[in-house]
Amino acid sequence: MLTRRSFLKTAAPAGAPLIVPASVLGRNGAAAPSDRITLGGIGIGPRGANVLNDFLEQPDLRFLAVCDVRNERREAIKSLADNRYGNRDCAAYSDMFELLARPDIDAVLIATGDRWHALASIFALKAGKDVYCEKPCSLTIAESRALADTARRYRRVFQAGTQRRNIGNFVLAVELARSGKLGRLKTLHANTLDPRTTHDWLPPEPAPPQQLVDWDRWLGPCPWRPYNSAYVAGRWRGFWDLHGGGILEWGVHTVDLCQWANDADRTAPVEYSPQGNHILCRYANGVNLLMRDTGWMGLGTCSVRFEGELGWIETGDTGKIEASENLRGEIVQSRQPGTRALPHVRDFLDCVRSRRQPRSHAEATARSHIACHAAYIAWQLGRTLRWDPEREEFPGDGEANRMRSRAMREPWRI
Amino acid sequence: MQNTQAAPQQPAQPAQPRLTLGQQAARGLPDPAQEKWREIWNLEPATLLVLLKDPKASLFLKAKICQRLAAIGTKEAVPVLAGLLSDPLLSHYARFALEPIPDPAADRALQDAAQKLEGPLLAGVLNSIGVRRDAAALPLLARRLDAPEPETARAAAAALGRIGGAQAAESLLAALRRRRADIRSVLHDACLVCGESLEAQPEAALALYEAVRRDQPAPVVAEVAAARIREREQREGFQPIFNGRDLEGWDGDPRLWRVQDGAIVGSTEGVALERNSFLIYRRPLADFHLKVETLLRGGNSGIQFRSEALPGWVVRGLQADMAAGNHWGSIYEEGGKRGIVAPGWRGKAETVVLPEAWNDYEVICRGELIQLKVNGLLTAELRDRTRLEGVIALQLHRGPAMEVRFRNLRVKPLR
Repeated sequence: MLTRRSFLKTAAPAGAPLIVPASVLGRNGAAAPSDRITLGGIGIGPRGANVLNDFLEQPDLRFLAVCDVRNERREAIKSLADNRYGNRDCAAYSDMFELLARPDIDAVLIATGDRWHALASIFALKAGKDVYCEKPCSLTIAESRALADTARRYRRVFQAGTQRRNIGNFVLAVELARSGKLGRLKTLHANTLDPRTTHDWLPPEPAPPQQLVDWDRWLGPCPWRPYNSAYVAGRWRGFWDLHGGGILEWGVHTVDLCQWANDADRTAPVEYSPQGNHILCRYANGVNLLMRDTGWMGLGTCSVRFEGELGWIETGDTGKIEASENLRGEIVQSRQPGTRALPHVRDFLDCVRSRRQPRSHAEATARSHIACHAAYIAWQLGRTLRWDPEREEFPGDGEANRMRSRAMREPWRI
Repeated sequence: MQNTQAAPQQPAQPAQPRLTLGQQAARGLPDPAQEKWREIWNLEPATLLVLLKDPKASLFLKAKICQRLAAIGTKEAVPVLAGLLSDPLLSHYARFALEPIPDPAADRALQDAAQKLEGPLLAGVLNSIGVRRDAAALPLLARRLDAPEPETARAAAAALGRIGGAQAAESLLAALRRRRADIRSVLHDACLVCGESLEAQPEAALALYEAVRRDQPAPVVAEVAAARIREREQREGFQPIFNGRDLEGWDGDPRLWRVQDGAIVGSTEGVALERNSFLIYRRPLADFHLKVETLLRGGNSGIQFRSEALPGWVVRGLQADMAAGNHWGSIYEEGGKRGIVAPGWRGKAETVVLPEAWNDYEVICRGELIQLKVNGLLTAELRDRTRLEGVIALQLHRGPAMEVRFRNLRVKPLR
């Protein structure tokens, strides 16, 4: 029998549109088993479970396996899937390579801590899987570049978990900017958080047995540090080794939307000036990008504001939109929460079928992450940096260039 | 990495509602009471090196000094860091500092360590050599491809792929030929990466991709390699001469030839042939490069070129020969008196042909020079002026029932 999977892998050159007719969906919208997209999950914690539930709502999807270095989470996600399907079929692994080696899995959801995002995505892409990866997708510029290059090289579908590219109010704001309704763009504003991180270690605690928590695997490519239960309980943010700080935390959403609004998905700002916790950036086309953690209109977390010569628009995670008087007629209040992943998940699955690239594809994601990394490096160095988006280097700035990558702990590499 | 003197870290903006301590803890933001690392970040490089050499220094202190040196270390730091590469707890921290130090002393330190270390620490050092794209380490990496420890060999392969260039490509090709199972998938990836560095040497890139495709890689790798080959061949001017759907442009006995799964299938099952029968591509070609993939199940077949088509699907002229367990890679004269004109089996094609599997066959005719390649290996070379233009045709041999398949037939006109 020619299954959808084998058909896609043999007959369809990646990149060529392939329309799966609606008739493959049977009665009640249920897909024939052979036509379901099969999914595995890697490192599914609270946010991951949220996104996974959106996947599980899709009639043409089957979740087959979970991988986690923590026994507790492994079992929780297995139960979630097994309860949903009324069986005990969900496989549970502690080694992601066992999951990735399964030829019956089409795609993976990666929702580990940030330190593993790029590497796990790269392994999955190399194993031929399409990837939906939570954000931020990298801890360094080098990781972002390698991730985008691998997705291109292996012709896989990649979607970053920057779901606001599929949320009504944000899409409307971006479309107003791109269509010229704001006039020539002047300044784009991206809501970021306190950039601070620490290099300290938490006090050592005895590490639990490997089958409960595989601490070495949890750390993965990051520098070794003594075990402390707070890290694995999810309180790893703010540690420089494990987290990109507040600019990455929200910037990969909000800077990403500004990049999209400025039609800059394949470039990045060329200058970054830290001013306290604000980073003022400038694109080659003269548009400014201001990353800031204060002064917002209160429209919710992850706000963005686009200002042009003819008007402005601001919106955030409440879904509410404010705009200049002349644009009021264009505004449709959608009131979808900005954290909702469902439409973004659907976009991804449609692209797994069509072999097109989804809204938050690998290259656009790399560029907006790189803009955030560059801003964070400028903030750490406390001085203005110039950036060459073609060569992806800080021209003539050795110290900043050295901060584009971090050596990975053996045996990991990108 | 924070330069507290130069950077005003507190917002210059008016006071804003800060996160409560509880919210900070939930986000794991730094506890300002700790911040032990800040002292280290404010020290001069020379002081850092003194502390790093101090046997009484704590693991934390040494680790943080290495991380600080990643941004500001110079060649003076290299010997101290090199001394830590063999320390299981600090080897990675030493590489953390060494990897970004621009001075070539860091390359030499990593090369030295690569001669001495083993196990995971060696793999880490090889990874760092790859990140630095140290071309001087190419011979060392090529030797490490044969390391018995799989992780060492894999790290060497990945580093060669990253460094790229023709020399790295040669080492990777040689490793592919040794067909070592435990490094294959990394080797395939390294070849795909390396190929991207060979834009200026399309032949070398093509050789890599073809070697990967022939190594029976994972489906995704096969897809990528095939796509790369297609792109390059199209750029070079190769055109398909079989459309994958029907025999348009070809002429043969309809009882013998059909199209199935994108391939031309010739079979003598149920048909007793009185003489050899051919499927003929009617457009005559003079100087050209022909590439096909072919799968032979028993019997004898071949690819005619510069040949003369006679009535009744009979052909005479030169043939790229193949037979079960013989004749592959040889030039044979069909319907003539010379028999095998240039042998290519013994010691040549026999070393590369996969029996009962898809094999690559190439015919290159340029003036009087004729060359055959099987799976990329040159097996026969002949200078012959008998006939400088003619048809291409695929053979079914009389005798016991046999089947042969051809797919992906493409031709590039030469000159």
